[in-house]
Amino acid sequence: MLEVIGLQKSFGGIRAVNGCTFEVERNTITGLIGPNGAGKTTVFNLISGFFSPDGGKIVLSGSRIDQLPAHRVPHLRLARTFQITRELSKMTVIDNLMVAPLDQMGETLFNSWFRIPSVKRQERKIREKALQVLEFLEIPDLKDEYASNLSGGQKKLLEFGRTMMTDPEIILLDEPGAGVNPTLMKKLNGYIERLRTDEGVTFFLIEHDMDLVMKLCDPIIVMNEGKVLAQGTAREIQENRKVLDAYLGG
Amino acid sequence: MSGAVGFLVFFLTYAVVYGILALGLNIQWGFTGLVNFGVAGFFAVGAYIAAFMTGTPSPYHLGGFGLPFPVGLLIAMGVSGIFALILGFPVIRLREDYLAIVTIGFAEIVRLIIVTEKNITKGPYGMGVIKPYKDLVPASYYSLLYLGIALLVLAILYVAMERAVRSPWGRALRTLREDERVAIAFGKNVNSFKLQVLVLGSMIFGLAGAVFGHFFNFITPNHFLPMETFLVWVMVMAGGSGNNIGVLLGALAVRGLWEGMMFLSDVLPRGIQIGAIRLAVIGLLLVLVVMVKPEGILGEKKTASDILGE
Ligand SMILES: Nc1ncnc2c1ncn2[C@@H]1O[C@H](COP(=O)(O)OP(=O)(O)O)[C@@H](O)[C@H]1O
Ligand SMILES: [Mg+2]
Repeated sequence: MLEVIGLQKSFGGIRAVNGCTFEVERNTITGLIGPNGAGKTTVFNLISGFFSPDGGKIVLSGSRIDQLPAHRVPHLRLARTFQITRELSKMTVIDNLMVAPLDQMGETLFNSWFRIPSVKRQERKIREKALQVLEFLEIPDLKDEYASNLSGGQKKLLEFGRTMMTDPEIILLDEPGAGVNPTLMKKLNGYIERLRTDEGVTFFLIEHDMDLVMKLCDPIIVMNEGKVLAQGTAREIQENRKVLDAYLGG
Repeated sequence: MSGAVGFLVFFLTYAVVYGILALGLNIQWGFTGLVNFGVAGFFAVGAYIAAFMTGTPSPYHLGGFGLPFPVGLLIAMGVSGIFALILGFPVIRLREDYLAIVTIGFAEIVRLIIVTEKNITKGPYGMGVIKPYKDLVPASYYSLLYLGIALLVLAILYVAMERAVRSPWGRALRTLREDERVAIAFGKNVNSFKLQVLVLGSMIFGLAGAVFGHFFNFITPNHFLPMETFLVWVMVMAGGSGNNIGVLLGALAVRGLWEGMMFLSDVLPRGIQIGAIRLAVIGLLLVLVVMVKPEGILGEKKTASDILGE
């Protein structure tokens, strides 16, 4: 589904991503782990088009995306979250969700003046979808709350919900569990599992909590110093000496 | 009309002109977060273009094409929009401070061109602007008629802008103002949205210029000093960025303070410069608002779009 081949990206002298090659198979929950500064977030930023790579290829569902402008990438049905939540603080929760869908007819000046019925119909669908997402995440009561008033955990849920609004085939989650309490984390796991089994969504996620990764993800890719160090099932990763060295020695 | 009524009509018409400017800056800064420090430049372009278009032929300045008043307004808007497009196209994709710098430069260049190109604009001597529809009413009532015309323009503009922003389009603008990366991650063509807004807002400044010129009937480069830009910014920030009624109130309040302080000259001791006091008071107002009510007199509406009803 997603192929990364020989990916490279430097910042000044730092080789953040230094020849990364891996593949994310359709309908998996693939984990990406590695010590701090390994280049994981940079890989996400490259895939989602926020950085353009210095070298290498990124292929999503058969088409190369590494030269696309960032706002075109979501149209290939990829959605992402950010390591530090980026809620739209002066907008309501439901508006945070409703802005997400792609190709909204109402997003032209012309159509905001001349509100033809199909614009309203689409808007109504988007609103229903947003309400369903809030229902799914069990926070329907927050819909008219300003996003700035949410707790840290609720903001994480909102970020997650926003990706669901675009009907993606693949969702990139950057540390969905960071700063989230164990109860909420369990719920989040449940949502991820359900979306995968019920809707066939592929997940590619960065996570620091090893217990979580080992339980949720298969396969797991380990990065260190901008390279892929190992990949395999949870068991294989746990038994891999190189991985242990990277974590303990790093 | 008596002196007091005459003054009130003058004051209100002036406030309407600034209300139009404030609506223009509100779509740029209030809704989208674009920093345009060149409001006065587009204002000037609108005023002079309209004057050329509607004036009677003259050997001393460009034109005098004798076109109808509404056509003059539209051409003034169009030309301001084209300037914004030329200016914005290379700059909009850069960091936001570049737009601020480029627009400051643009406004000063426009003003200096007006000063130096005497064959086109009559330079610092200023040029006359016709009174549209002046045969419709007796001369002593004309200012009232023109207030009505200006109010009509403002009302149409207000409805158009309110409808524009209370929509999925406006919601996308708020999104890119709040966090550009989120807008991009959800497929919004941020540069296109910004360019649309830069052009639209600048067309509105041009419209304000045209309405201003036909109101004052005489324009000089000194009407378009950077001070004008500053005043409009205060109107938007004090009135409420992102609220179209709020910025209109801001325009009324700032204009009111500005004119009101004229009367101070009667009570103040001799030798105190009213101009300096005015600026200080406006500055103080801005500081006060930012400290006490940072969102302005009226804050932004909570729900972004109203196309499904409130
Ligand atoms: N925008 C950037 N500018 C400069 N250096 C960066 C940038 N983003 C990441 N880096 C550097 O790249 C390296 C990898 O960072 P990152 O991808 O965030 O690691 P991880 O997510 O695995 O912790 C780090 O050394 C980091 O400082
Ligand atoms: Mg990271």
